Amino acid sequence: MIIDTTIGKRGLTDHYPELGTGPVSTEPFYSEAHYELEKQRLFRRTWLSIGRVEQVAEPGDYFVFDLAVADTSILVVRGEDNQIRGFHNMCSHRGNKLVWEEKGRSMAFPCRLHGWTYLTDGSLRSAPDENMFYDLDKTRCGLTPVNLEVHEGFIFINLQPEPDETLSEYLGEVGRRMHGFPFGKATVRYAYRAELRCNWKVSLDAFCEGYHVMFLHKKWGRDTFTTPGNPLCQFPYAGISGRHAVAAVTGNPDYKPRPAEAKIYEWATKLQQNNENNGSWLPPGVNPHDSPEFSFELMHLFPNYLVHLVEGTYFTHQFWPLSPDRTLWEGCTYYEPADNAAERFRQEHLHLLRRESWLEDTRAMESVQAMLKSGAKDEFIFHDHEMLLRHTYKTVMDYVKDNAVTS
Amino acid sequence: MNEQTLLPPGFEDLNLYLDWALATESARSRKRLGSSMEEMQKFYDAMLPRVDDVMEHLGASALEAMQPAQQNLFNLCLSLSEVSFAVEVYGQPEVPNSMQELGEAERFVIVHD
Repeated sequence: MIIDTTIGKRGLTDHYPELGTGPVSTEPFYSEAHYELEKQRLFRRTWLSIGRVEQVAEPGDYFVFDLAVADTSILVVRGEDNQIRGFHNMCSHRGNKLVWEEKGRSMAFPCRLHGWTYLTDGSLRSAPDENMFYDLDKTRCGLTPVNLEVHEGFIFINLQPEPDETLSEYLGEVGRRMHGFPFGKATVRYAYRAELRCNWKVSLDAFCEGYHVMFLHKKWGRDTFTTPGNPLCQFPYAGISGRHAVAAVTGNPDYKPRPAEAKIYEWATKLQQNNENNGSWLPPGVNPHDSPEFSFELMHLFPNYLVHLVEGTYFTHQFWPLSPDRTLWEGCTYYEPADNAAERFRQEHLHLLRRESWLEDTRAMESVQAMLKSGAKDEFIFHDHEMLLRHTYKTVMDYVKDNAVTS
Repeated sequence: MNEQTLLPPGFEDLNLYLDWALATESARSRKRLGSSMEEMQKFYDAMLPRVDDVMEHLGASALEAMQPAQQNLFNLCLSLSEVSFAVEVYGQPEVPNSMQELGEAERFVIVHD
């Protein structure tokens, strides 16, 4: 599925004629009517990643995920039988939101309102004053389940009554590409979150191209991500498979660390432990030509999740629509637990590097959105290496128009 | 409190900068945004040449095994990473062109603290 590009030579998008090469409408990036269609026809049909298995490691471990885009809240819990299940977080009696805590461990979930209590498999254990109800069949009063499947440790849900396709069918080739990366080793998570004043696609698109790096991140991005042969951070390879896409981002192997980070990296390397386990994290298909200029591979798991595979770590972005011009964004970096202070110091510096760039990115997203509604421009013009944006646009429109979409 | 116990023996010179020994990233970031470039430059100039000594002293330690004085010393290191962006890259406390410049730094939530 991978197309090797020639830096500076147009033609990547030509491999996918279904995408076209013309401008695209800005209207779906702010329209109330389009947003309603996305809610109904897209987010209620696709598989959505809402967490990691490490968040529910032991029986009774649970977390709650509020899903504004589907007007619901999801309870994910590992049962006594060790199975992970998902439910609408809603009491069967009078509809109260059942669990209010963000996460925890419990073998039973009592409703605050009237004490109806559910077990980890969603079944109703007890209802106070039970004999005062008429024909109460407790076996029919469990929590409403949602479809839940796990891929490479990522927990996905699907809100269709019966999903059109399994998670593995949905993720297709890009899902298989993740195989072999040791996601389960990177159990330490550093997360940033912001409610952004922009459409979720404005936010997603900002992280799906390298064209902005030399300009928006000019203070440091040019040293880190550009090379003399690739000064505008074009993708050395990219590819589309069905609704999902990948792209490789260049790193500068000749980057000269600044004074503080030079010390940090020097000591982390000097005191590195577990040397025998330090093989590559990247599956063979990622950076297939072993380029020394490889920084990371970006994977877009449609609709709203980006997973970036880096040697020895991974990071993610996720974009949850709150309204046509509001998005809950979360950016996370995942590491193996640091076994000494020098490694913890290095990890701190690495996620601060990301935080600094994400601070630049997020403000720019809001400044795009601030202008969109003016209607002064009704089209976006996409560069050849803004192909992933074009692909997202087309895939969203296919769902909204209810065209058949498959992997 | 006896000042000598706040950092491990041999690091008394850094006692001047104990207000940078902050346990969370949110606190370190807030301290950076509330400091002048002169203050940060002074801390940076004092701290950077001591990184080798600090790492000799505690770089190989497991995080959970650190004594409170060592933890303070390590938090000074994490603050060095924090201020290095202001001192080495931007020449100002805030990330340029970010919501920090609009006075909206708190909208960017550090979830892991």
